[in-house]
Amino acid sequence: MDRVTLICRNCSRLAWLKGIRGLPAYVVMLLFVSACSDPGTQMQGQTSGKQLVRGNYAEPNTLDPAAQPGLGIHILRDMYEGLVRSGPDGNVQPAAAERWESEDLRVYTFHLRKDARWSNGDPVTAQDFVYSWRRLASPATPDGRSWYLTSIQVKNARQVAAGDLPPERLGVRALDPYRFEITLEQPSAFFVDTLAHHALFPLHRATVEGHPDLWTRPRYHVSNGAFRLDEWSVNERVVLVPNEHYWDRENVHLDSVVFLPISSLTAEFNRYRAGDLHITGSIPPAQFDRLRASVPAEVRAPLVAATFMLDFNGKQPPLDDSNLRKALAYAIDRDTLTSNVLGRGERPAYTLTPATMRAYELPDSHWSQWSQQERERVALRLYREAGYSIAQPLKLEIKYPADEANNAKVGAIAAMWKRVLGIETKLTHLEEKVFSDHIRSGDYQVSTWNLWAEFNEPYSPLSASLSEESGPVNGYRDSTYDQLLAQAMKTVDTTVRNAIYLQAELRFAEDLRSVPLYQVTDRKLVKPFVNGYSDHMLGFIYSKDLSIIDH
Amino acid sequence: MLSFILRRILEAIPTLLILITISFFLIRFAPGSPFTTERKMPPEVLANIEAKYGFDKPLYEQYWSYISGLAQGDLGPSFVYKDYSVSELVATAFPVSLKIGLTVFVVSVVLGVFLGILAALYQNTWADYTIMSFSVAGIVIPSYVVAPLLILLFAIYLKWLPAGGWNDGGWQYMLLPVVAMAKGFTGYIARIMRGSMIEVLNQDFIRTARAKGLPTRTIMLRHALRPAMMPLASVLGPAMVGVITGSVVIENIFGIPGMGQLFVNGALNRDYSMVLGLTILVGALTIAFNAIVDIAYAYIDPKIRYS
Repeated sequence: MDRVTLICRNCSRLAWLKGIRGLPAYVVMLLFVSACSDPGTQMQGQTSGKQLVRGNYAEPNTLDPAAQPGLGIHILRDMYEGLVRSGPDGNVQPAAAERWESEDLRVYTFHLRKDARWSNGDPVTAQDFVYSWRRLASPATPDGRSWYLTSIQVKNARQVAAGDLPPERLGVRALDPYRFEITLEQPSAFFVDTLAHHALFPLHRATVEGHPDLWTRPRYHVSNGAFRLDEWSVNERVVLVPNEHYWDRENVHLDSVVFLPISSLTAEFNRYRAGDLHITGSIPPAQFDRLRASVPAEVRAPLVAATFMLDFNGKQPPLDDSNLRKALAYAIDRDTLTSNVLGRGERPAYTLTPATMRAYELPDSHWSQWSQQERERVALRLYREAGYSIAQPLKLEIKYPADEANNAKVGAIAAMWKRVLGIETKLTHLEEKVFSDHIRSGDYQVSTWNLWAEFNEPYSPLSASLSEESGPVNGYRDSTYDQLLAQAMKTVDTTVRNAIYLQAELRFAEDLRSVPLYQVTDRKLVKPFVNGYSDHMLGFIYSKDLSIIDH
Repeated sequence: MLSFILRRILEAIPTLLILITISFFLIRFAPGSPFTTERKMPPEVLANIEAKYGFDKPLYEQYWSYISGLAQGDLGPSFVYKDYSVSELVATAFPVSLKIGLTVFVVSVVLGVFLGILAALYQNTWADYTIMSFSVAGIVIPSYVVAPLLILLFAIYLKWLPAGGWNDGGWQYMLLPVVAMAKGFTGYIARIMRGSMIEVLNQDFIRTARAKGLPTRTIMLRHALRPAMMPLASVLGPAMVGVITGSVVIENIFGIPGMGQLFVNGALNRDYSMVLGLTILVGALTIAFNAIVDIAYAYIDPKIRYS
C-alpha cells in the first residue's frame, strides 16, 4: 500500500517531464518507476558483522503461528517463545515457563517467567497463553491447526474444534498472571515434550484483535521471542531484529536475522557461494558429493526424525491383502536405495519410529533382522501365495509428487519389485496439489510420503497410524494398536513405555499398511564463521543460539 | 482520434469479461483446491474456511460475487500469501517487474534498432555476419543457461556483482537480470530491424534520395528509419507486456520479488484470486498496448489515419 501512495505522490513531481518534447514515453516511465523505489541500500553481499542470513526454502505463506505456517516455522521460532523450547539433544528446556509441575500427569501447572516481555514492553502473562490456545482450538480461526491440541490430548480440544463447545471450555486457564494450568483428557507422561511446537506460541491479544488482518505485518507485529519482525518483503526477504524487551536479551548476539525465500536450490547455492547467505535451506542433490569432498566442514546432513514411507491403499484390492503388502515391503533393498540411489547419509528404516529417536531391540522374527536375501525369498513366497507369478504379474501404480529427486528413488523401487517379483509398476508423478487430492479421495494404490515427528517421542510418528488418522486414508483401523498407544501415553517409566512402543511397532508390522524405507537427512550448508550451530533431530535451529565470529 | 480511443476502450470491456469468465471457470475446474493439504483437515475446519471464502456457495454465485467485487476494484484475498490481499501483492510486485521490464525494453530497443540498422547497412559483410550471429545466439540460448553463467562469472569468481536479491532495485542488483533478459529480446529486434531496413533501402524513394546526393546519415534517419520501424512497432506492443509482467525464470534465479513469482506460486497452489487478478492485469495491459501500437501506426505510417 505504501508503494501505491508513493507513486501518486511522485506523480505531481514528475509532471514537468511531460513538457519535454520528444522525450520518449518509455524514458519517462522508467524515471517514474525509478523514482518510486527507495534509494539503494547497502549490498547484501557485504553483510554487517552481526547479520545472519538464512535460507528459507520459499516464501512463508503466513506468519500466524496458529494457521498452517508451513514455510514460516523457522521465522516463527525466532520471533516467539513457547512454554518450553527444544534443546540440541531434542529434550525440552525452560523458555517462557521457568518450571512446571503435575501430580497426576493430567493437570499441569506452568510457572511463567516474571521478567518475560512482549516486544512492545508488555509483560507476558498466563492470559496470553489462554488466549492463543483458545484461538488455536477455535474452528473460527482460518486454517487453524486445532488438530495439534487434539493430538496432545488437551481437554475438550476436539469438541471445541468441532464447534460443539465454546473455546472457553478448552482445558486451559490462568490461575494468576504467572501460573498457566492445562488439563488433559487423559494423563500424559511426555506432555511437556510436545510443547515446543510453534502452534502453541502465545499471541499478544490486543494486537491480534486490534488489527485482525494486519497484525502479522512489521508495523503492528508484537512477539515475545528473542527477535521481532522488522521487514517483510514478499518473495524477497523477512528481516528480524532483536526484541529489546526480551528477558534474555544479553544472550542474543546477532544484530539482525534475514530469511531469504529462495525456492530454487541452485539459486540458493549460488547466493551461498557468493557469500550472501550463511545457512542454506538445503543442498542441490547434484552438488552434494562434490561439496562433502571439498568443504566437509560446511556440509551438514544429520539424520532427522522423519521417515520416507510408501503407503498402501488397503481399502481396495489387491493391496487389501497384508501378505501381498509384506511381499512388496520385503522386496525393497533399503541398503541399495540409501547408499547407491540416494547417498546423502540416509539410513535404512524398518520401523515407524526413527532409529535415532528410539533404538528398539527388535526380535529375530522381525523382518529388519533378516538378510536381504531372506527378505526377498519370503517376499517371493508371499507373492506366489497371493496368486501372482512371472506369467501373471501384479500390475501396480505408484503415485508421487512431481520432483526430480523423487523420480530416481521411485524408479529404483519399481526396478526392485520388477527384479525380485516381476511386478509391472506404473510411475505416475503428479503436481503436488493434484497428488494431495488423489490421496485424500483414496484414488491411489501406492503413494509416497514423509512421516515427520512433531516432537521427540515415538508417540508422534506412531500416532499417524491411529485409527482415526490412517483409517480414512489407507483403511488401517486397529483398536489394539490404539490401546497400546493410549497406554504408552500414561506410562511414566521410560523402559516400560519403550516396551509398549515396541509392541505397537510389532503389531503394525503384522499389517504393514505403510512401509518405512529410510530415515531422512536434513541437508544444509553452514558457513564456518557461524558459531553455535548444532544439528537438531527435529530441525529446530534457533537464531538465538547463533553468533557470527570475526572472519 | 478521440472516438478511436473511446471505441477501443469500449471494445476492451467485453474482451476482458470473456477473458475473466473463461479463466474463472478454467481454474475452478483444475484438480486440487487452495486448501488441499498433505495432512487432512477436520471437516469442520475445512467447512469454516470454505465458508470464509464463499466456496460453500454454488459456482455461479461465486462468479457473480467475484465480478461485483472486481467492479469495485477488489481482487480478493490471496490463498497462498494468506496475510495479504491480491491487490496488495500486485501493488508491490508490479513496480519491481515494471522497473526491470522497462530497462530491458529500452536497452533492447535502442541496441536492437542500432545493430539492426548497422547490419542492414553493411549487408553481407563481416559486420553483418557478426551481429546476426550474436543475435541468433542471444535468441536461441535460453536465459536459464545464460543467467547462472553470468552469476558464476560476475558474482562468484570475480565478485563484482551480487548473486541475486533485489534491495529496492539498486543498479548492481539489476545489471545481471537485465542482461540475461535483454539478450534475446535485443537479438529479436535486431533481426526484424535488419530485415525491414534492407527492404526499405531497396525502395525507389531511397534511391531518389541517394541520387539527390543526401548523406547516408540523413537518408537513414530522416527517410528510412520511419518506414523501417513499421514491422517493429507491431511486435513491440505485446512484447512490452511480456517483459514488464515479469519473467518467471529470471525472477527465480535472481530472487527478484516480481510478478513472475506470483504467477508460478499462484498457479501451483490454486490461488484462484491471484491467478485471476494477474490474468486480468496482463489482459488489460495487452489490450492497452495493442491500442497504443495502433495509435502509433497513425504517426509512423502516413497511409493510416483514424478519423
